[in-house]
Amino acid sequence: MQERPGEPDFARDIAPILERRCVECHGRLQQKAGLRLDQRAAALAGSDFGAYPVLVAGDRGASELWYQLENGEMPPPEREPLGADELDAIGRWIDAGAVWPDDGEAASWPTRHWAYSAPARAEVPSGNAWSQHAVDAFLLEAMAAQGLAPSPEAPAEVLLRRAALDLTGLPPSEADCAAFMTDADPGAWERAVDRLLASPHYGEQQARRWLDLARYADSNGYEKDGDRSMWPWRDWVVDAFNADMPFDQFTVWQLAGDLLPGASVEQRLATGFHRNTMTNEEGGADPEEFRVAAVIDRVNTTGEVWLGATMGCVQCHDHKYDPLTQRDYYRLFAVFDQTADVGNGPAPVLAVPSQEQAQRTGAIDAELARLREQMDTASPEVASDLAAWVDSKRALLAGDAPVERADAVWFDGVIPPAAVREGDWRAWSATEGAGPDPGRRSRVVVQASDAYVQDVVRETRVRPTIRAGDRLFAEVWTDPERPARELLLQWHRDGGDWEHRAFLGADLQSWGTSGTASRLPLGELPEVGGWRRIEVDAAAVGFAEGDRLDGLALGQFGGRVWWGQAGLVSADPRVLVAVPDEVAADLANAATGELPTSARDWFLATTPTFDAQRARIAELEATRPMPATALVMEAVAEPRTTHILERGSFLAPGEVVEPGVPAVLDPKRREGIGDRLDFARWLTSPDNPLTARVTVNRLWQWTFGTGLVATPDDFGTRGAAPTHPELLDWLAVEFMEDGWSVKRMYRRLMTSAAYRQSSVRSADGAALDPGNRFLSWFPRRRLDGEELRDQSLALAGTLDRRIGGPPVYPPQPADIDNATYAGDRWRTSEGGDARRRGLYTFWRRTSPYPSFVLFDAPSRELTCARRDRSNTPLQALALLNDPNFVAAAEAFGERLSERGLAWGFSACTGREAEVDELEVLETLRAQDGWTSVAQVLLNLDETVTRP
Amino acid sequence: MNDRRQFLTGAGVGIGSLLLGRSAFGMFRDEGSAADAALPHFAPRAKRVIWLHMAGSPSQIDLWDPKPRLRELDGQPVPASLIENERFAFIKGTPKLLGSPYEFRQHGQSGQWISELLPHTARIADKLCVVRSMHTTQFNHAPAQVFLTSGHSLIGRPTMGAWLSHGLGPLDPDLPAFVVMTSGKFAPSAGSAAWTNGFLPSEHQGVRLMQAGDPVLFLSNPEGVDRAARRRQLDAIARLNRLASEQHGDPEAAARTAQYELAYRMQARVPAIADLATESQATLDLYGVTPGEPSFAANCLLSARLAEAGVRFQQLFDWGWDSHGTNKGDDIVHSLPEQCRRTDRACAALVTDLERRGLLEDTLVVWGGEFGRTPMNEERGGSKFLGRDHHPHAFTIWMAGGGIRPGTSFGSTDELGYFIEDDPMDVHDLHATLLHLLGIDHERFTYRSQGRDFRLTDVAGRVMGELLA
Repeated sequence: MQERPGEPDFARDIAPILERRCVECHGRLQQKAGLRLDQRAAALAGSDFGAYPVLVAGDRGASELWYQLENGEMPPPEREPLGADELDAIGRWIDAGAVWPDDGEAASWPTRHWAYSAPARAEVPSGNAWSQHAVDAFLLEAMAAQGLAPSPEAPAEVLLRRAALDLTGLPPSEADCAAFMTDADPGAWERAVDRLLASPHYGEQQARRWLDLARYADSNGYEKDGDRSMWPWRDWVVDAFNADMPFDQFTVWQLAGDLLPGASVEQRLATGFHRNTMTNEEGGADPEEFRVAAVIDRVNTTGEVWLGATMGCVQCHDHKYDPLTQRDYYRLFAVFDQTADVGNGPAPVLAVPSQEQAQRTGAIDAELARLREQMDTASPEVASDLAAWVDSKRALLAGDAPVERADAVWFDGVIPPAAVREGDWRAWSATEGAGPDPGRRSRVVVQASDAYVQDVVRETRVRPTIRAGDRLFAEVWTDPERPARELLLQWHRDGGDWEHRAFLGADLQSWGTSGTASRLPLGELPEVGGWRRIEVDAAAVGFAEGDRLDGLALGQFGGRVWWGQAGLVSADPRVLVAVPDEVAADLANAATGELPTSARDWFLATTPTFDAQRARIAELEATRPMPATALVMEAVAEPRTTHILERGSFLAPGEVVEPGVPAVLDPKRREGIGDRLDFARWLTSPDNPLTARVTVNRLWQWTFGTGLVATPDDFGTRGAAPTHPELLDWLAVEFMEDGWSVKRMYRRLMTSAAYRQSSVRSADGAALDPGNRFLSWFPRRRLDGEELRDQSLALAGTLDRRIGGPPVYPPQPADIDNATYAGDRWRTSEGGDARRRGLYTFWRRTSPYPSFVLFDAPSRELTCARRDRSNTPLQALALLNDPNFVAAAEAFGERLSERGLAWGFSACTGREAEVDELEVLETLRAQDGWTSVAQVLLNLDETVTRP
Repeated sequence: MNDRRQFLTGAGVGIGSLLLGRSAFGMFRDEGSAADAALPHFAPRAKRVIWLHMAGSPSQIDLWDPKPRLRELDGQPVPASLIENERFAFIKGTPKLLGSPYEFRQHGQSGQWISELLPHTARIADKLCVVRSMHTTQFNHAPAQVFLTSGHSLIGRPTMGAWLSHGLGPLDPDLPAFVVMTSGKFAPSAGSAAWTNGFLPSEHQGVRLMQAGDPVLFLSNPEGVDRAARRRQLDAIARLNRLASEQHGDPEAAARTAQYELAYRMQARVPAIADLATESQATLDLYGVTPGEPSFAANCLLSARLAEAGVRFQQLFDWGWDSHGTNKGDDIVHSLPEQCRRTDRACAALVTDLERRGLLEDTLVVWGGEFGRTPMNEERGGSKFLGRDHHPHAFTIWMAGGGIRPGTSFGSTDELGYFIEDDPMDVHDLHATLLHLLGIDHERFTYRSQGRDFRLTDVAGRVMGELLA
């Protein structure tokens, strides 16, 4: 459509130029030279050079704006110069009267940035002789515009190695090679890619990349940097990629899975993504400071991973270059401010049972239910026992007068119900063989140890009251074969302490003061081989009239001891009744013939009839599986009020803000955001222009080495411009319309002719496009540290391919870890665990695995969207001398000796060796042997490079 | 007309540094080369830096900043006005003032006040510039160390050594520009964040020299591979890489071969430098070094040798200065003197030895912690051991050599040593001054990352002219 020349319209023609070229320095944030060009009044008010009016209607020659632009003074030299059409438009606009409507504001920031409007499906360029593939059509059009031509297809073996390394992080398996090489039918390549996508190692490779973004580590960070259990979340990521979980779902689960209705364990586990933030357990650190730091990190990470927005600056002030305000930032902050975690600890933590564990737990729960059902009063025997028990208790409670002094059995060889216990509390069973005759005592506790051990019960529900003259007693049987050296009894006073002790035998335990009530000697050890009674005046161990007992500890140094009954010799019927206060009260108050529930329950919990069931319950509880745990997100109980933090400091809260999304990304939106779930859904909704673009760009980067936007974490005005904007948008729309399938997007990219190009650089291409931004040949890339490790182990045939599980500790130099402050050490793994994939290597933030760091792995303290690919002598030393690589070379050398040099060369490089290459290797082999040749092969530039 | 044109041009953005030449460890420019480059911006006073970081932070009250009034008031509650709105790491309630149990005397011609705990350092008093008015914003170890090393309290910015590796490179292309050593039971709290490259290319991260095993990771050949065998391997790698690159044409292959050659040269070079047994007994005694035994002293001697060989920036972290007084192992009566005994001789020896080697005039030595310690007794949980909590408001560092005015005392604190009274100097000022000594204008030394120009000094920093010789 032909525009009418001479009459540029401000809104249509001029404002976009000002926005794109000027307002960054002459707008809301900066007014360089005193000039603003975002508002009419401000623009007409002039600049620091008052003598020179900015705009003179109808006279470009008198307008300073024109002077600056025409003479190339502005934009400044480091900026892209104004295009001739732009200059022309401004000139004609001034000449036509510089009509600037009163309400005609240019945006104060460059808001019309390409990335802030929704991607639209571009038309695929037609007439493509290279390939029918849409990706190729876009690429070829751009190449042609640069005078470039694509490269021919790479050899099949090279292609397969390329795709295998990209998709699985491992060289192709022999089966995959055979399948591809013998598949002569059309679609052979597509089938090869499908096989790789179906490999369980695909999920591992993609998870490894995601872990950089998620700043996953096995330690907490900061000074203490102690271990944390996060690996179940890592395994969830592997599974999610392998299952090709749609990326929108992947997003919602990770950011807000806990808020989904009836959230499953998996959905809650997924929220570990944002619990990968660091926690500071340094003594003296303010937990709130580091909670805020974690929330800030969540905002920044979400910004970089989903929005391609670098948010760090906006924490303290409005963004200088991108249309993000500090308010926008804290509205996002408010989204993430409502979680229950704190800055210095792991909670909330989720137990994640394995399938096997879940089954076992189910079985245990079922049996427990059966057992509890049995423990009832249904049978006539139990019913009559209960009646007799109730009668005896009531009789005691009825009389007020003191009765005959007798044993108030407080402890009967098992733990009283609902008390807290410590120690093993191993119950004696007849099947154990040698032991005391229990006699009238139906239950005993056994201890056996060479050092001091004790079984402790505290906070008992029965709390006997001590009266004057009362004595404490305990029954014991000592094994004649293994006599103890010391027996120690300790009582705890309700509301007091444990400073009430008595011992027999050697005075070995040091608690309290010997010879006083806190460590009273009772003489020689009792005679072995039979039940003996220990008695001591309650007053002698420091109890006064009215004190109540609520804890007992039975201790011994060495030997083997059975404990029987223990308690108080008392004449108080309310003590002799030996039931909890509330049971006694209920029994006393109940009408005749009525059975209080509390009494019934206490009877069931203590009657010897159900000893077998109780023993079995204890056994089942002891064998209940301990599932692995992971840190997860949970909504905070008391919602927080979020403030703008001045200068980003948690000590300087300012204005209150509500959750919301940056206005520039969703200008139509009028309301805020409800919660994390609302926000996560917005992220993958059509209202957000960025998530699909940023995600396909990352997939492009992981396929072609560099993103279509070379700065994967910055799609803002200061990030790199897309080399192929229409292709990027086309892919983004495809991705969304194809159900956000990552596997199918990989397949789409890898089945292009562009991906299948040779990586041999053409002379023309190298001259015209040395950085290969237009992909006229396929770009090689040096493998990541983990990939190098995995590849060497795979070539050696020693890779332990088990997937998932706790992190492992392959060998590393001795001095690396030199102990973290939390005291967790590097427990070097042995056997297969020393040869697992790099993904499973324990990741300590203050001291990451050296052979990964040397190859540019991040520390995982912050999100990382793109690793460097440096090339240093330290890398050479690692690949040649790291014992992990040396061991792999030795094993690889053995395989070479069996299969020959030609096999080894092609296994390493994905191509057949030339004769002169084999000669070099053979000469070395003759002189230095197979291991030396294996090392050389593993260190070749081609081997460490994805072709 | 002319004026205004200049004004407008001047208002433009500073142009990032232009850097030429590239060595194994990033940018490298030969000292004698006539290659034009933006750096240094002007003639440097120092070519290299050795930073002795006493991790945990030593007590300035007991070592450098004598406070007679504090001793008089020992045991009194701290004036409420001082601790209003204060946050402490560990102190609860109103703490009591704690005078130093140590005597201070003036030393040398300059008459610098130094505690009896540092008798060796006292002997080089006239070489030191003691700054008693340092302050910081951070009072937890890891953030404070990250702030001190990178100019920002949150992890993610490049550290000083990385900036210099990027900007100036090593003095010898066969050696790293930025070396880190640690001594004591632990590495510094901030871990590798204290020597991170941040957003600079990763070849600029500090190369950590190890105290046990190989000084540089994986420097030794595996058992059974001697130097001749390694040579044959490298020849084979070089030849095969060349044959391949003739086909694929990627220059990265040749670069990789060159790095393997450099690694081979380092294998010969670094162990020779790291072999302290080649030093005379007199030198070993000067530092208190027993060859083969890891120690702070051994790190100091090695740092002198590495400085001589051409390493640009070295940071030595020594652990054990966090004198809280929770037990005998971290108090100021038992532990602090032991820390001083362990390091004092070597610190003094380093300055003396650098001078003897003719290196002190263009080597800057810096000594200090990441913050100071309180003039109050911490008494955590009623501890009977004397100790001091973290204190961001005032601490002492010293500098020597490399264009620093020797025999200088700078800055002062109030009579209790709580706040700075005169001439405050913050972390950015220290960085600005350090860069200035290296010939770099801290405001023009920028690196663009994520669309923004970053500086080591962020948006602050003053070159402390008073400290310059």
